Amino acid sequence: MKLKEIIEKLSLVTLTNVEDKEVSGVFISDMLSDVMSSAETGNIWLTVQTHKNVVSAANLIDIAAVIVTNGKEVPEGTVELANRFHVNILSSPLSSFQLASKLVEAGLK
Amino acid sequence: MKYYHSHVIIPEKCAGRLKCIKACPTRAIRLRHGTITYYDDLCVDCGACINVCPEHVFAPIMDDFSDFEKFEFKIAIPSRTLYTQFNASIHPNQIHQALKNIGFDAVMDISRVSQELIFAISEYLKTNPKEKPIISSFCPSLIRLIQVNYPNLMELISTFDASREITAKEAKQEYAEKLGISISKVGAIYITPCPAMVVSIKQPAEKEKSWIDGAIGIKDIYNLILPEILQMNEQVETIDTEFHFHYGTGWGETGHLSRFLDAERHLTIVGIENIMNVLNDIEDSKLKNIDYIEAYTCPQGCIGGIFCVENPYISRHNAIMLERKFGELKLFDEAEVLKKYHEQYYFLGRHVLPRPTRAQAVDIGTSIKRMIQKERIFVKLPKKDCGLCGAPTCETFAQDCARGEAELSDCIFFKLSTH
Amino acid sequence: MQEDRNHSIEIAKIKEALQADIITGNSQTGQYVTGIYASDLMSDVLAYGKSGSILITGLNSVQAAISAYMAEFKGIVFIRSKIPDQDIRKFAEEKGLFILTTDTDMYETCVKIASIEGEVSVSTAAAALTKRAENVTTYSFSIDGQDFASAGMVSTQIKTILKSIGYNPLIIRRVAISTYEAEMNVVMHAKRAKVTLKASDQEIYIIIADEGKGIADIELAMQEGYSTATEEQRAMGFGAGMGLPNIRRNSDKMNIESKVNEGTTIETMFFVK
Repeated sequence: MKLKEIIEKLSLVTLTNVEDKEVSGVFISDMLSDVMSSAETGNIWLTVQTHKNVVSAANLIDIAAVIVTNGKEVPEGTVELANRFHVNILSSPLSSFQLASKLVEAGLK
Repeated sequence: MKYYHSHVIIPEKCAGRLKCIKACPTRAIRLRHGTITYYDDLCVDCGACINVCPEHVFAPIMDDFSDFEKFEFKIAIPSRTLYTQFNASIHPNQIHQALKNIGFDAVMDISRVSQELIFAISEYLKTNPKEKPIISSFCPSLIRLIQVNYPNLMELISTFDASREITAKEAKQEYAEKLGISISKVGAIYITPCPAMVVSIKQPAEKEKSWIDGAIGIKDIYNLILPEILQMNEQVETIDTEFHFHYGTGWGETGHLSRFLDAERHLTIVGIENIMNVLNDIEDSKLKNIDYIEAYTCPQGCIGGIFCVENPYISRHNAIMLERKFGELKLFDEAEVLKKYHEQYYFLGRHVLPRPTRAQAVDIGTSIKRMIQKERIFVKLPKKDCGLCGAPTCETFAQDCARGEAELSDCIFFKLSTH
Repeated sequence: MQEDRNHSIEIAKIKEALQADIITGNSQTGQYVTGIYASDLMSDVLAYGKSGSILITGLNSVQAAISAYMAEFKGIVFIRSKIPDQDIRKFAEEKGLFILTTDTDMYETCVKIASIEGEVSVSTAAAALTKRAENVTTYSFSIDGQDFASAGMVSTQIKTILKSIGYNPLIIRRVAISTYEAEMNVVMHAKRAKVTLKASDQEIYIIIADEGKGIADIELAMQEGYSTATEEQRAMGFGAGMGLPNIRRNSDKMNIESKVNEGTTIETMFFVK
């Protein structure tokens, strides 16, 4: 499934310039070491973390998009860095759990 | 399983020079949050870290002489390397007498058993064993290197026991009988050139239990016996007449086994890097026409062990002089050794088993997943192998990240690029 | 927050859906949780979590238990096989928190819990999660013909990769020998070759595709002792005519295709079990 389709279906807010990508799955974690060890290329990553290292990790593993949940505010520096590294950052007011259900319903595999 | 190693880390001494991290041949060491740690399953006790650290962060754990007080009768079993620490004008019997002066009840030299073993090994090679080349089992660090990095070569490791072990067994049995005491009251203490020998005594990879009860480094014993030796006069040669001293061809140098065997079909290798190159070739079946490999992980063989006092080149010279003086004697009876050989006297009884390392701790699927992750992270790292993250190379750092054991922010280049 | 409705899920149902182990709170399995909160950031648990919820987390520290207690949660699910230590258990027992552990990751745990109340249908959840198992890693290498000095480098690299994945030593040995032989063939007879390694939990698959003179009679080439190596090559210890037979002997499956003056492709397969 394409990222743009997911953004539309789940009314996600885009915080960075968005490049459309193929989404391979979902990974939820707020620990960077977990993401590094277990997230896969093309995953969308649900997290409540908003610091700059999120961008580094997402870039390293080629995450399709980071979705910041709970509607948390993302610092400007993080957004700036994400634009520089072409990392997509989206936002949702839902919790990670609620968003997980929505993603499955939307038909994401 | 927890693996015993003969050193402790003293973190407060560490100046963060990262030398050990780079020196470790199996990449077991990391600097995490300012503290040196290592993966005990990867450590092969080669002593490279101990050797390279100017701050002595890695402190060898050695037995103290007082630990042996529990034995009624204490036998010193010196490594051949001990004799090469002294000028050849000092008679080996003086060294033996000095050991007795400091508290040992007897000294047992390993030369006869060594001679027997070489003869037995050459007998074994005549039977043309199916798996070749046989790799000598005398260097404990070599055995551990194969366990950790070359598990597919395990069955090439010689199943002959080491001469120090057989000597200890014989000596303990002999004295227990002679004195009429239980064998548990007789202690055999090895005087060792390296920490790996200590590990092979405390937690043998080769068998269930070692015959040796403890070990003291040459360095420590040297300081105790040197004053004794200096006090002795020349006549001391006659003090110890219990047995004839023999110093076999090439002892203390590398290649002492190979010299006795048919040299055309044997290799002698020293230094862990060189050994790894040859082991790689064996894995590819590239090494043909070689029957026996004698290898020592220390750069000069055992005379380069980190507990040695004398510089290895001088030691080698001393060894050559000792060999000239004491090298002619043949100490064993061939027929008897052949008989013992056929009774399996010299054998360990089983193959050494591989050591399950971190790679085997998870199923192949998970492992492959981590591998994919590692590659993905690795291509984006600076590949400068600076070591500042605390891992020896960018590749090991990527591996650690993929295992969830390191943080991206540990990479200084990554940090810089995000600020 | 949108859709902040109350849930009502029996703990026993959660345990069943996740095939989780119960660590503390055996007597509480008949109770219900009224919310689900998934996070590893404990400051957020306190900020967003609601009383009566269950915490899904990978943070295996007593901090997780303390936060769950402070936020008036009923219990915790530790994900990805994380086993809570004695401190956590003790705290949980004292405060009446139940603790479950599961081997699934956070997303899978969420989807499975969501399917209990029918928020997500069980079949949709199952379909979403089946795809996640497949693991194959692929590597490419190249070999230059006549480069005797670096001959063996590719098989050494492949061996290193397979070792760090942790395959059985015996299978690695077979792969190493047959890849080394194939590599030597390329060095002796071809211009260059591309080597592909695909490793999965089922099999190891290696393709060596070279550009070169090719093999006119494959059957003949497969015979032991047959060799077209030059005198010089033999003098260096190569070309004993055991290459292809050795590859066949050491692999579980071997396929060889060749076109004269174009090149040869050898595929070998090794079964993991």
